[in-house]
Amino acid sequence: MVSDHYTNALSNFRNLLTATIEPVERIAALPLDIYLWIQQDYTHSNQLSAENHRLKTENLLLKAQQQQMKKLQLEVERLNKLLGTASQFKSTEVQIASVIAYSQTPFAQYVILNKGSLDGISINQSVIDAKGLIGQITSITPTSCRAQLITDPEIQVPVRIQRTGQRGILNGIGHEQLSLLFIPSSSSIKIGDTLETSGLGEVFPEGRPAATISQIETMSGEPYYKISAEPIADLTRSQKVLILSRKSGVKHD
Amino acid sequence: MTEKVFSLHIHDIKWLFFLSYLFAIVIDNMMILSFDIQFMPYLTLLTLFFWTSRILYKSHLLSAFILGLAFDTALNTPLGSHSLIFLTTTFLMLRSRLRFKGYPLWQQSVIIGSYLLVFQIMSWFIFTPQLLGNAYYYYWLEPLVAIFIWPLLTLILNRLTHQTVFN
Repeated sequence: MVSDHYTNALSNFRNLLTATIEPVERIAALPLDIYLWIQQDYTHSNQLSAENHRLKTENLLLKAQQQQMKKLQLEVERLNKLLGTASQFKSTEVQIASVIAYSQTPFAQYVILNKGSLDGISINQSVIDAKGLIGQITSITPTSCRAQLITDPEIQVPVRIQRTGQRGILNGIGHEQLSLLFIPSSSSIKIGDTLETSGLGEVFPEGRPAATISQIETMSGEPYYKISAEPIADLTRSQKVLILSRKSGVKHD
Repeated sequence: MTEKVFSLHIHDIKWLFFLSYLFAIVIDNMMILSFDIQFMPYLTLLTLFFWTSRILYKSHLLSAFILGLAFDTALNTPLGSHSLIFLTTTFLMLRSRLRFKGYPLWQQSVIIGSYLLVFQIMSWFIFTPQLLGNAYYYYWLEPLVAIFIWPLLTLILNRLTHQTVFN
């Protein structure tokens, strides 16, 4: 218990056990799959047409933004060269994965994804969706992996407030709620501020939106604020997610 | 006939024994992954209690350990933590299983409820679960739900055992 909690010594054994119970989990997730399949099957064609139209518009906007992003990236790299500093852009390999199932018990919050070690997935890779950070991969089987959500109490994410750059630690408290720790009561912070990953510890990539501040309490006599936050990503509604690793290139589903 | 039921052996019911655990694990995982029902006690644990009180020549501690590991894997909790709780509650059952077997069903249900309460208290200290809103009530409702499920589970497994042994 202690070894598994504080070290990764038993991670291979856990992966073996996860692979053993994977068929059970697949069967257990069947009712949800059938429900989603039926729901999808009965979606009205007008809704599909509207969604298609919306996605096409979104695609166009994203392509335009991507062009702008490439231009900015080149400009930043050029300025970095002039200043003689290292580039802040770290290329990442992206793998698109589908969510097989998710769990939101009081003990653990995680999602099961359909990519495993055969697809080159490894432990500690970050998982994001279109909006922000979802979590971190904690166990893998040959054909699937398990990502603990950022709302899981076991996960701590080093973050910074996007507006001020103030650093803190984002801690999961379950039920789609987070708390932001170690923000001094002298700091400038307000409700609605966006928290992004700071990249410290080099587990989570830098600059990914993670949460927004929802509540701030000043504790009398305490040096830090008591801050609640809500995740930006659709933790339990996303069907497609991206698994990040620090290499170049893009792999598709 | 009575003698054969009382001296139940695993080799008489091996398929039922393994399939009942498999079915219980699938249902427990279904409650987590598909239905998000949080007030259901683990059927696997209830099934373990049932076999502990029926197959008397085995201690069932190895089964408890392995099932605990399966739950640690499924719930992403530290390996061995569920095993510890499964072992403790199974040990409590072992200490009183001969008396337990002689009790009327309602009394058995109350005892099972108390074992489940021990299970929840131990889980509370080991995992410090995050219980917000209704989750708090659901968590402490599990022993009560177990009291109502036990007679049904006993009825089904007793009938299946009877059919397996005598057919």
